[in-house]
This record gives sequence, C-alpha cells and structure tokens, in this order.
Amino acid sequence: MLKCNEVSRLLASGEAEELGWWHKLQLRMHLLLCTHCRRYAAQLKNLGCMVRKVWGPSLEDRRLLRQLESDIVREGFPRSEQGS
Amino acid sequence: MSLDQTRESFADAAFVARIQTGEEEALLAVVHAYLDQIFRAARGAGLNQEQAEDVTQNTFLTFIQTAGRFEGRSHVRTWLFGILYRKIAEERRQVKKAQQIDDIDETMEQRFGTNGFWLQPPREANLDLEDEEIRDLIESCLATATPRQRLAFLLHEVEGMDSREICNALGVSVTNLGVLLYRVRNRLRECLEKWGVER
Repeated sequence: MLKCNEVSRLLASGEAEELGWWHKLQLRMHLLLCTHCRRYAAQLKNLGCMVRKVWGPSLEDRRLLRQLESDIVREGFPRSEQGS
Repeated sequence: MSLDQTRESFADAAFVARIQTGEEEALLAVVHAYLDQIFRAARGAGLNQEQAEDVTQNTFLTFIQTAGRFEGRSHVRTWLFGILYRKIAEERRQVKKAQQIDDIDETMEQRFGTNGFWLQPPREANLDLEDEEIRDLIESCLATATPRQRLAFLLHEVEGMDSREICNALGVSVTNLGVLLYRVRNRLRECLEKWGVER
C-alpha cells in the first residue's frame, strides 16, 4: 500500500496524472481511506483554481495589450511604418 | 476563424514555412494570437507590470528576429514560452538549478514520520477572500519561488499545457518538471495553510 509521503509526492509533482491503471487504483484506494491525504489533494486542487482566477485573462489588460502590440509592430517591422 | 482555430493552424507545415521565411503577416498573426498569454505568464512569473511589458516586448522582438531558426519541431507557442523564460531569467538573474536544495523539501520531510505517514497532517485553512486579496497573498507566498517554478506552475494550471510542451519551453526533463511542480505547489499550500489557520 502507498504511504502518505508517496501520495503527496505523486499528487504535487503531477506524476499521479501519468500513472498506469494499477497504480492509479492504489492511489484512489489510499485517498478513500486516508482523510489527511484527501484534504491535501483537495487543497492542491484548490491552488489550481486560485491561480487560474488571479493569473487568468483580465479585462484591465486589454488597452495595455493593444498598446504593447503596436509597440512590437513598430519596433519589429520598422519598414512597415515607413510604408504606411 | 476563431482565435483557437488560428492558433491550431500555426502547427501546419505551410504556416511554419511562412514563419521561417520571416513573412510579416505570419509573424504578426503569432504576435496577435499569443500576446496576452505571454504577458500573463510574465506577470505570473513574478514580474511587475513595467518589467512584464519590457519582457513581453523583448520576447516578441527576439521571436521576429530569430524566426528563421524556428524548425517547427515544437509548436510556435512552445518556442515563444522558451524565449520568454530566457528573458525572465535574464531579467531576474537569479535562476536556480531545478535540483538545488530547496527549503520546502525540508518542510515537507518534517511533515511525515519515518513510517511515511503524516506526522503533521494538513490543516483546514479559512481562505474566504476577495480576488485582489488572493492575488496579493499568492504573490507574497511565492516571493521566494524561482521564476522557473512559477512558470512551470502557470503553464500547467493556467495555460493547460501538457508536460512535454512545458519541458520543451523551459528546457527541463520530465523529472525536473515534477520537482518544480512539487516544490511550488507545496510552498504555496504551506503558506496558505499557515495564513488561513492563523488569521
């Protein structure tokens, strides 16, 4: 049977997503029986939700991005500016 | 054509050839399609707004200047994130090697007994916060994380990239990527738990 420290490593490193069916079953069994690892797994999952919320697309960035894009075009393609 | 369809079409051999020859229209399409993701990643990697703007601009200028060297073996997005990572590393000049000792490893070891079971199990933390407060808290928790750890986490969680693509972009092995994710997730979890339990 998997130990808690092995479960924490599999979950946090992302190795859990790559496991074969037998090891995946062992992991599921452990999570079914172990409250602490279940809480740990839920907290890791919540980290993903939190960073998607704060690092995901934001409306305030739109104007800034338009300006940035025109700066890149001006610097990256100096000839097209001369032509326009 | 939607932006997602446009991004998918970037993998076509014909489009790769247009990038390699430096065709302006093709390069501009890439800039337009990935500007927001690259800027977001620069911010997520811990740069402030001004630094993120500079790094984003430099990333695309390098992309435009070196497009002839793009071989098309990976998706153009992977190539861009690779350039971004190197620019952030230059900006920060504090990139640690993925395998160096990290204090989070010791913290995690202390949580388990010699039998491998929890000695200090995770605690329930109260994190009922506004988005802005969460943003600040995550920033302070990840202040000591390396840009590579933060980017690995961001590319996985926010951009939904698979392991192979992240490894290509950051120039790390699958094992190293596992170490990066293990450390950054545990660092953040430990910090949020401490904050949420003590508030």
